[in-house]
Amino acid sequence: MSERELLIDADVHEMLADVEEVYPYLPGHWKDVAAQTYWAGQSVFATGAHNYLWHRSERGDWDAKGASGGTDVDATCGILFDHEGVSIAILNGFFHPGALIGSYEFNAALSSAYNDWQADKWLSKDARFRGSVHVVPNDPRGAVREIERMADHPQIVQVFLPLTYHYEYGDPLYRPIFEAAVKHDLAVAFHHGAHTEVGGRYPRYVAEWHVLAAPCVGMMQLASLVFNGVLDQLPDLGIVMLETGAAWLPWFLWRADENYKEFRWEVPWVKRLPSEQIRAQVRVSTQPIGELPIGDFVRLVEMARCEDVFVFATDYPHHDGDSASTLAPALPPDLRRKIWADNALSVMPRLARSLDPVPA
Amino acid sequence: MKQKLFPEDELAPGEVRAVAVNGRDILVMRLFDGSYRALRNRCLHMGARLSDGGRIEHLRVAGEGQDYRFTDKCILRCPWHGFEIDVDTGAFVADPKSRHNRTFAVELVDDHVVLDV
Repeated sequence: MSERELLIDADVHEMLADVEEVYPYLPGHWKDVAAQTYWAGQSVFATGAHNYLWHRSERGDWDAKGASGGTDVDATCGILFDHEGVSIAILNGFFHPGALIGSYEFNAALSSAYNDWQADKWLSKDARFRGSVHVVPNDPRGAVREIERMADHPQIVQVFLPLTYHYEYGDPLYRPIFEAAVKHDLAVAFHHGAHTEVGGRYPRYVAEWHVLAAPCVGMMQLASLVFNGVLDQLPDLGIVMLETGAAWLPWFLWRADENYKEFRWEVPWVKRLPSEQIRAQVRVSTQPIGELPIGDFVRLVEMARCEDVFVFATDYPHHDGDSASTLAPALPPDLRRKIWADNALSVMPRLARSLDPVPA
Repeated sequence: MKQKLFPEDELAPGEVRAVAVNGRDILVMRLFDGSYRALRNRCLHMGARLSDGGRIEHLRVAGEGQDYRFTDKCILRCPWHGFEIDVDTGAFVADPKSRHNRTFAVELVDDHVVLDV
């Protein structure tokens, strides 16, 4: 890998050392609620999930270099930019108020506070960081206001939505969020969390959850966006599916196309084949590449004709994170350039604009 | 080669019939406007015999938002998976760039349906 090769990391998890770090960014009333009510002190990282879904689960070698669960800005810069060769790191957080159930006003206040904390503590510290707007999906008007509030920040490149079984993002209820993202040239990124149930429940074991949650709900939401016409009606909308895995994609493209041909009568507002929409507008992170041999991954990309779909991600600092050095040797140069940077840039206009001039 | 099949009024609008001509299995369709079309009697998706339950329907197209409307144009719906087949081109409506089914010209001569095979 040449030192000058642009490497965009689509999935970095900066982390609060303590939830109290966001309190100074909350307006008075909500600060009192956070600090002085029953809410105070509860775990907001894994509420309702398995009690051993860690909120700190850093990869051993990164931890040894001071990752501290993604709480340390300097350590993160050293590991990602110096050691891992990342040029640009997109922050997706690990505290996701938008995934909390109910109390949308309070959760919206927490989202705004977190966005300001992210800008203060991370974006302002290194020009190579890019950020997300965290919103509460079930308060679409509030979500649009928050997008409008944050959109002028030059390092903000996407809206973050929690990947959840409970909402169906293709529902017209959520359309204003996607419209606001397009209006401001922001992509929309989805990422699962401890809140992500599989088929409306938690499997009995974490092992099951870790296999199923992100890909199953990712596929569900992708189908929702396709068949409700979100991608068709907003052709400039870019979607980034993070940590949902890779190998389901060929099957999904074939199956979605086949069912579109079968049920087009039900959804005639869908005007393009699902595979065409996805290849043009959806990006899927390579992480977790896991035990999939890279050679098989390359064949999978060819098989599904999705060389424009995958984007590189480390999932820093998490234990199942990937390094570019693992993927690089087996990727043909053209495909590597696409996965490293071109594919992300093609659906993330704000990211592309922010790289002018491209950093060395 | 032209083959005289049957009187024009033998099929009602919306009806289909399989005919065997020179060893070919061909689907003859009468559309709602009374005109005729003909296709190879196999679906290119999974090989269904189209005459065994295939239906003539009006084509639905997108309207405003998540709405749709019917057009006057007819499609043939495959009996197996419901794929819509364009009766003029033989293409799948949802995927017009994919393979097209073979179509045959049909004309009416002396009140009879005549197929050009």
